Amino acid sequence: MYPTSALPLHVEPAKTSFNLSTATKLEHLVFRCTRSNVQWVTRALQTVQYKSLQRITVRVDTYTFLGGVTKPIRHHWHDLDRMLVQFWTLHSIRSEVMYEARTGNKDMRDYAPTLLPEPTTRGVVDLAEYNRPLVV
Amino acid sequence: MCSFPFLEDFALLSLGYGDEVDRSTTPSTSPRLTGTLDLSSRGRAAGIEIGLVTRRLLDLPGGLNFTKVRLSCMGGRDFESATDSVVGCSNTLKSLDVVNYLISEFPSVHVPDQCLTSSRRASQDLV
Repeated sequence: MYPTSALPLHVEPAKTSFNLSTATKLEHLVFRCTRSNVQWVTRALQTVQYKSLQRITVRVDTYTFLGGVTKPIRHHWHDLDRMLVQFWTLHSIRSEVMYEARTGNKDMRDYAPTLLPEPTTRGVVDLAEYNRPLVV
Repeated sequence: MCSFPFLEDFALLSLGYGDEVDRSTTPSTSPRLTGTLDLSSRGRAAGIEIGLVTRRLLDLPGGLNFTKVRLSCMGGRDFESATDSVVGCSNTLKSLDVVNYLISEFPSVHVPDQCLTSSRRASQDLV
């Protein structure tokens, strides 16, 4: 019998994210977050083959932080924060965080210093604004 | 689709339910598929549909040679399909663009379905 803490997991991490380990020629990765939880991004990045990778983009839309930033959410962003710094320091892979142009809600521009403190202060992450494309 | 041998890009937007695709016949030829694969599904059966399309594409004799993949995901099953499509294009894929509409991090609702789907797929593979 397994002790409870050592029970084999039947839900693999891949079910809460995806596996990029076979994509050896990957140059650009874009993650679009519609919710504030970025665990799936960090998990996917853990599987990346970095040899060809040149850029990581995380796009955050205007409603992502509508529910505010809770402690677990901040914790998950700090995991991503550490990972983006590692990609830069170990592999010179640059990251950019793009956030939707301000529409009145508190957005990534307000949260970036607390959610991504390391890369924003060290200039490892480029922060840029984007405009939502018009849907015709 | 297989009637267009020079087809490079493939995009599918689905808003409804998907039926099981007839996989009894595998085409003898397949398009180039060297451009962009764009899969987006917003219906209740989103994960199922993207999974079906991905598996059907993976059956093509020429395999997948997309250099860019864009996927709209809604959690667990879609992540599996995303992984499948990445594996299918692993020799050519240069750009991956994923949007995740998953509301909850933990796909508890989908777990029993995933187990059933996996079991069914495994039993099909054994036949």
